[in-house]
Amino acid sequence: MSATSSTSQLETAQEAFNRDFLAARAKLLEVASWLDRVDRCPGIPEDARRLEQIQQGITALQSAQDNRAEQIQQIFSLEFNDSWQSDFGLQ
Amino acid sequence: MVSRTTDDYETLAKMGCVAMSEPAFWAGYDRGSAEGFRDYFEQLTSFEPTRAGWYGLQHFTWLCINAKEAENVDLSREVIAMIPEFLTRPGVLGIGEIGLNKNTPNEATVFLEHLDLAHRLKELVLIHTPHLEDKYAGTRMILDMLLGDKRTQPHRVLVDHVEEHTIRPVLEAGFWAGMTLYPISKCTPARAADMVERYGPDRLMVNSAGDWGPSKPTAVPDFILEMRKRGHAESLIRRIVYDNPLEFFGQCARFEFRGRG
Repeated sequence: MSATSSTSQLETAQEAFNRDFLAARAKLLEVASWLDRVDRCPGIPEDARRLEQIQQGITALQSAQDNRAEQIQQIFSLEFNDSWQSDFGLQ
Repeated sequence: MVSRTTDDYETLAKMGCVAMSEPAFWAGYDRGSAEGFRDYFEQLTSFEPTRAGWYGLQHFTWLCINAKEAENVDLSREVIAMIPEFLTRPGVLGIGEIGLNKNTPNEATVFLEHLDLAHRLKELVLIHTPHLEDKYAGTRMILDMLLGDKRTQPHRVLVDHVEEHTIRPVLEAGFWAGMTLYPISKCTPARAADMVERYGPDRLMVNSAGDWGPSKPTAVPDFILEMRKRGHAESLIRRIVYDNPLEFFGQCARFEFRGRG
């Protein structure tokens, strides 16, 4: 089985866009209001890594590629170490 | 479902569920002894099938010491040694859900010992992939371990909780992939439908969870509704939520499924 075989999209782009527009709008508002909420609190968040992840995630939303979800998953993932087995003494 | 009230079985039955597969998992705290696991395995293989049966549901289960408790290697080895006592009970489908949690050396050691047990006894394997930031690296490590053992037959392994960044390597390696629906921490019905559209229905299934945190055992009907909203054929939906699980679980001789009508 090819991992790239897919099932046909049955909706047009306009139909898919319309169907979830309000839900997407709501989710954007959640993120926006969360950022506003953080700004209203004294000080600034100290977790630079997570702040950077959020900023990269927002940038990924503007990607022209159709794998934004995968890109954002990778942004929030720890890196894979190719030599983990020898590091663990398992080889 | 050890963590849920009986009402949830009733609700599932009313929503069209006919059977469930419950993996051995964390108690919400780290168990203190192998005897604690003995009691747990007794509950999984005796009481839960009875309780599910009150509503006409078949209950199947898997056995292991879960990844969260695998940091204790000595305890893990005691539990692994005990598993064969319960494997021949009706409804036990195999070893699972084994996996990684924080991707540590001890977790990897315990994973490999579970895998060895599964291969020696020719059992199916159900895999838990880690949460959140640990998922990608942990999934890659799990695939390395699975593929590093020549006895592994990919069609007899279900790698669960795949998401957008892990589904492709799992499917390309020939394993089954499960998408687990949660309100927050894993996959949503819409994103699961997206992955079905991207990758097709081969070796793919969707499941819900009855967990200690926010979870929704009745999430599979949410996925069904999402697929219908998108106009997908009932045959495709049925394949993901019914035929594919039967095909995978049916590889176990103890999977005695009683279909309806």
